[in-house]
Amino acid sequence: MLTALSLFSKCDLLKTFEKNLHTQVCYHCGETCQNNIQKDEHHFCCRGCLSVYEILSQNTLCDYYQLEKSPGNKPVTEKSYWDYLDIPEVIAELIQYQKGTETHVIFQIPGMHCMSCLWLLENLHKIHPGVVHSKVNFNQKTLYIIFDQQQTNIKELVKSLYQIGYEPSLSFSNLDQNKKIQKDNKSRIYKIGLAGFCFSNIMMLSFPSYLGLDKINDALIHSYTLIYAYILVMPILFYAANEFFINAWKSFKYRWINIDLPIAIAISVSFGRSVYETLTAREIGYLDSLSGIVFFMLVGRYLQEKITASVVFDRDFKSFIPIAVNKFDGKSFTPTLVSKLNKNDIIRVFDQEICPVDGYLLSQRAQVDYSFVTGESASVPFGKNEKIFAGGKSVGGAMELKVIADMSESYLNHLWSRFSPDTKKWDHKWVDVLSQRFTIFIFAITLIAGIYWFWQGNTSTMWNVITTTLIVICPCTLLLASSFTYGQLIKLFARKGLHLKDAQVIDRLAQVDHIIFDKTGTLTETNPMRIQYEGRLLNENEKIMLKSLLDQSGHPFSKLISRTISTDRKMDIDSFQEVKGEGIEGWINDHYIKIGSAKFTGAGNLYNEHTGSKVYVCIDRKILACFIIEQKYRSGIKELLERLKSSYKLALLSGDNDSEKNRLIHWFGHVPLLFHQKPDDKIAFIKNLKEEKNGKALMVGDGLNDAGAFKESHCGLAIIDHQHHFTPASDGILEANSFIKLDGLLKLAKKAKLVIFSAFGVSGIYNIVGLYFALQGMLSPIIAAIIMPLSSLSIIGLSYFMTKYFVNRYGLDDDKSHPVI
Amino acid sequence: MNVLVLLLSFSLIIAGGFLVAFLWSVKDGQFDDDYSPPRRILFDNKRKEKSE
Repeated sequence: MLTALSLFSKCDLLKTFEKNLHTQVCYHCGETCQNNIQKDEHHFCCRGCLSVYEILSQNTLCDYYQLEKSPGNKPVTEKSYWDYLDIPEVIAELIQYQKGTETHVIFQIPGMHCMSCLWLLENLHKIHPGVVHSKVNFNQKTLYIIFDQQQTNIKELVKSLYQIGYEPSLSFSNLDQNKKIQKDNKSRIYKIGLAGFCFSNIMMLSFPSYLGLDKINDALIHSYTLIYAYILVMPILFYAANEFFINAWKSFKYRWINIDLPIAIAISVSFGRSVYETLTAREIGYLDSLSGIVFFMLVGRYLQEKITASVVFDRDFKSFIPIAVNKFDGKSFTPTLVSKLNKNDIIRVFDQEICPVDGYLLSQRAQVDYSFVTGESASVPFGKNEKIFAGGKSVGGAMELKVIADMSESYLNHLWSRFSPDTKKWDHKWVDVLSQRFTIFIFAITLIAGIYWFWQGNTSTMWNVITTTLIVICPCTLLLASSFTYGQLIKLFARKGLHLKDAQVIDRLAQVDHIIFDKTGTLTETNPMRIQYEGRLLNENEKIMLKSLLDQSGHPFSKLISRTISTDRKMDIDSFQEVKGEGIEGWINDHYIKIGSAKFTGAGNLYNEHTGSKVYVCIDRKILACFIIEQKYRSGIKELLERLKSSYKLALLSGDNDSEKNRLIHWFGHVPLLFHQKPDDKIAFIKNLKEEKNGKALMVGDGLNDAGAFKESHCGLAIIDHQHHFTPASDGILEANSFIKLDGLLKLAKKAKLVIFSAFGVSGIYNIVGLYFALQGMLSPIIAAIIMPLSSLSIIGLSYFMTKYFVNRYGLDDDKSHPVI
Repeated sequence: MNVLVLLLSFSLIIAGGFLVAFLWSVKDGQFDDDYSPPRRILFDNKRKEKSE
């Protein structure tokens, strides 16, 4: 009794203990809370999440939080440029239908991922008056809204959606594709439906003959069944199977034997034989096997397509750049579609807006952040008439530019298309080659067998043998094995946080022997660096002086430190100077202030025990304090590198400075660690690796500056923290949370071939056994047609279980799946 | 045995009806979203004093 009681209280104690240790999780989005933002006894990680909560609770929409835990998306940084949604042309592209007081529009909302999202978006009318009806298509991640254009408009809708954390994705590619969402896929479904229908009905007719009960004496019924069967087979031949015939025709045209050719031939031969049998012996022939073949093939193809389509990866670089910019038309600045800009147009790029084209700066001064292009968060100052490249973000104010070139000639495009896709062209997937050889082999065997039986004088057996041989040795099982395995792997990878462009990337991943890392944004987190403060507390006056000085400088450290100083007042500067790479100094209010490196401020070895960049504050030649700025490395990196070291040759190419070199040597070992790398330097390094050592490199990076490097490398992966940081030139995206699983993922990729070969093995056994019987003429076509799906099923089963086994083995299945971005 | 002709015809027509229904529902978009419908039915519609 006593022990039980003591146990109970111990549990209680532990719980309270845990509660204190346990860091708070944001009620809205689930991220850990570092600030103490609370409301209604719930914790929030940031003001953004809090504001969404407030909007919802004011509208009694708190069911949102009941349906799922932490369902929200963290709203991203402030956006203010919605004005382009006033442009009639932009609106026209978004609107599906308009009549009277009804306007229909479809938005792509990638942020929806759960039931709460569904609920909230369909209850949009409660937050946003004017919305009549909203319906979610979750599979396509779209929201169909009907609204009254007299009460609201598209711009307001988009703003609303953004405010609750479901920002619609509006970009060039979306505008183009908005209208044709998933229209094409359906034809395959129709074909399968029809083929299945015809196949099963024809089979029903042929059923008696399987059981040997096919002596129908009644001529009427016999004729009827024949007519029935032939009517049913027509849709199969002319509609369901037409893709095989079309591809087979293409095969002739382009002289590249593809897998559809033997299938098309088998279908034609079956049909020919059936007609022959019908005309001569009034038998139903092989229509059942024919329809069966078509049906099963179509199902296999559909599965394959569905699997590859579940990872949509057609975003191109246009998704980055805002689609409209303010152009001066002689009197004022109005939003204009970027595609309509001409040379010498004057445009204004607002603060935090990305410049979409190359231009000459017309303003006196501008500060541009090229993090998309160079990966560096340090913004670069520009003076009048200097050239500003597309992709740069204007910071610290707006800037006006004269357009040099339109979109197609800008630097981003240059960087992106410099290495044209051809260099990365898949040099004939090994499966394709294999299946081509296989197909030739099939034809050879069929020919030989045909000749043999012809020579034997046994023509009926000959036809039998030809048809069944063509059907039974189907390289389609090869295709199925590879496509299913790849498809499964792609899906698996996506669930584990690695989104690949297509199946071929898996093979490339398996082939790499070098791994090259970028530093900023890849090994380090993209979001705020960590700041520590050492030294005595500053009084109000000192704070104001510091902040005023810091605000002059565009250096990221200055901005970061300035943000941490909380004061609203400012003083006028008497003088200011920034010494690049060292610090800033200036006179304010008769005080001489220096902020910068140890060397610059004369701090010597003060606070040297701290790692990271140290920014010292020196007022009137007295060191008062130090801000220690650390770019936070992602957790688990060190261990990941340890694990990777044994199987891969590592390297680091960073555009940043080498202040972290020592720590990185400790982590990486003695491998190339190069700093101050420009995009071209990285490309050169990889090229060198390819040529000198025949190395296949995996480039792991972030930001568009790695675009060229990605293309040059054997395979390129971009690390992203959330939807907005995205690289189009990469072969795959790796979610930041899954970064530390990279070694397991690579191992899994390597096993892909093993799984496929095992599947081939199984398929081979089926083929050999089937062939054995087919060549002897002992195999009936319907059995041949059944063997095919049977072998497919066993291959699928084998592939499925083997991949599951490897996932288990490489420790990739511990956590639950992520919602796919 | 002639009844077989009748039987086969009718079964074809009925089965054909199902096929048409299937093709029609696919065309209409019923199978486009398989995530939302089962969850939609679970939502409560709270009565509020505010009129819609």
